[in-house]
Amino acid sequence: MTALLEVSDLKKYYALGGNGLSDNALVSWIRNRFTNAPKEAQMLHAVDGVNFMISKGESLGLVGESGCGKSTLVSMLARLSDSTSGTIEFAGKDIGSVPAKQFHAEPERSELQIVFQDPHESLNPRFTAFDTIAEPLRRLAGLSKKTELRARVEAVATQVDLPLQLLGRFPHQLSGGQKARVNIARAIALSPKLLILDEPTSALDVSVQAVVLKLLVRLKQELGMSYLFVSHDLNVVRLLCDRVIVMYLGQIIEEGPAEEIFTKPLHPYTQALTAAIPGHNKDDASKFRLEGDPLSPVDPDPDACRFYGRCPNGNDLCTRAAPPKFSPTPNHYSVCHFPLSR
Amino acid sequence: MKEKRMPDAFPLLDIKNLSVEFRTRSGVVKALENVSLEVLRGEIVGIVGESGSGKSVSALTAMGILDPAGHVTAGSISLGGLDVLGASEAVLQTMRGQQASMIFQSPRTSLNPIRTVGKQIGDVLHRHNMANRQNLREMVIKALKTVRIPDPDRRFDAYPFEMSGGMCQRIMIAMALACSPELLIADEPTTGLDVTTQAAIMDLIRDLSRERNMATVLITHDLAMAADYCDRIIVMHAGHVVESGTSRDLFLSPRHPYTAKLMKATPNGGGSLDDIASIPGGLPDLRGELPPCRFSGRCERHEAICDSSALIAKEVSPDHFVNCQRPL
Repeated sequence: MTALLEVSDLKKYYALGGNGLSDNALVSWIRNRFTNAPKEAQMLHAVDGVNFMISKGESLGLVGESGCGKSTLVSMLARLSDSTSGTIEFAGKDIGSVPAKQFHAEPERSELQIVFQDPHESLNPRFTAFDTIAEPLRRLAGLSKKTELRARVEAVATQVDLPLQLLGRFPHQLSGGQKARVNIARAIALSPKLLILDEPTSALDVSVQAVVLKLLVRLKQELGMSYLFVSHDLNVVRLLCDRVIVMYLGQIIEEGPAEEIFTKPLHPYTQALTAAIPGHNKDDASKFRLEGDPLSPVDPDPDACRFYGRCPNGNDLCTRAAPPKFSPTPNHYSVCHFPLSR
Repeated sequence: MKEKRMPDAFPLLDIKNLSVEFRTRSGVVKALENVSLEVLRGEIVGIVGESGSGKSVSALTAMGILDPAGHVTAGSISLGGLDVLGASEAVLQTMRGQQASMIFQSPRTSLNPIRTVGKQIGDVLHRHNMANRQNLREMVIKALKTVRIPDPDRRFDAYPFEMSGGMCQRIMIAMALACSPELLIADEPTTGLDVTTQAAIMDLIRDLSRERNMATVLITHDLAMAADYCDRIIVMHAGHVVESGTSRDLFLSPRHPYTAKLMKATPNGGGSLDDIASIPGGLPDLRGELPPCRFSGRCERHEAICDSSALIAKEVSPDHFVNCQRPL
């Protein structure tokens, strides 16, 4: 398998202005007020050195709590925002070096598409379903003839099982499942090679979720796409993905084949995550409950494990040294001082 | 898991044959029809169903805070002996908070963004004369401690935006439990929260209901979660209760076709995508004439009898009721 997308050491820091989010506002206020010391800019490490790759035809799952940097990572990969450092290689070309504002002119724009979260809010309320699906065809594929456009839009709508008589409707006249289809149709209109799916089913009822998931699997086979599947719902990730990466506070803490992640997790955080899935109420599940909130992502200590404090297995070694990579099998690794024994 | 229910136990919340209509410009929406449910002290009851199935309307009616467009056309609600539908607003105001309280979904939007959380919890205590000016802060901090908020003394002066979603939901729970109600209704308490936070919040709700012997109603669309935390589950579809029973009975042997389909549609870890199936069709339009069984349009077992005779709840095994002419 060849790599379609390869990400190395990708980082995104946000500078915080003034004394924002400081632990001790008074101290920094006095420092700023009475000394001439230059203001030390605090950095929020949203994504902090992420490495992974996606092969052709593979679907990779990305899971983690809110605030762990999933969305920042996704917007960098989709080239909607620029990275602080690191490279994003897509089909052999470094697309990370193209500024996000100019990326729409690159040929890769049509090969890398994204399905946004929450179809109720990500569709333009003043665009009919037809307009929404036609927009990328007009802008990126340069289709302008009405008949050509019509034929292409109808072909895409058929692909996602969207009845053609719904094409003239506005989002508020469509049901949740239909809106999800429009959203997917817009993204696949240009037959992309990589589709990023940001929580595609979280706003849907269970009764329609299954149809949309099956649609995604079928489209992947038909169009030979790769998926990056971001989701809260770990059961869905398990069904759809070949491999899974788990993020915690801007870093990947575990990566491995989907089944192994769920059945034999290495990192204590992954274990807590899988134990929290409802419907798995084994008696021991509550042993793995996490207490408290994640640490602050503002200037984290580089020589400490970021999970320390919530981790059931941590000791003071975790505060002194950054955790090493532990890899019992070639395609499964975790970043932890005390990975769970098999 | 609770042992067999006591036959003579007196239900704290007793809803009998409740029907609710909404009069809208485009017609009368029959949101609830003939809904009955009982909740005992110390019991956690789940109400499960798709959006639009009438879960929240049932809860809002029980609290006496139904939208003015909604009208109760039949039935009765008794809460610890109080007739909720007939009571005056003043009585209901005392009831809410002291006898029953509710947690809403999306804690961030339910809290007042420009007042500190301590003050908001204090309001509840103040309204119900549970605290005076001297011991208000102390009482609020005690309430914050029961929901396991770290550093409650400092959190008293925090605004909702300074807290994470999980912390805000804890504040909502603290507010709901401040006056030790006997009934707690949690309406999708973990929507929008992470799985890990969801588990922590649900554990907290379960532990507090057990400790205080509260009656708890958990409204959710997540069957798996209901199975984990509830003693009994009520499945609703299009304003009807289609099936009710202990979690164990319902999961091991669902008897209503809708319950079975709902379980089939929920990914439950493991298995493959072929194992899950969606439910064809959508909820019927609740305006206008409806067949006796509102699931009949989506049901594979539909036959002539389903359209001809009215639904009667059948007790298929002790405490397991099904509203279907042709149960599985």
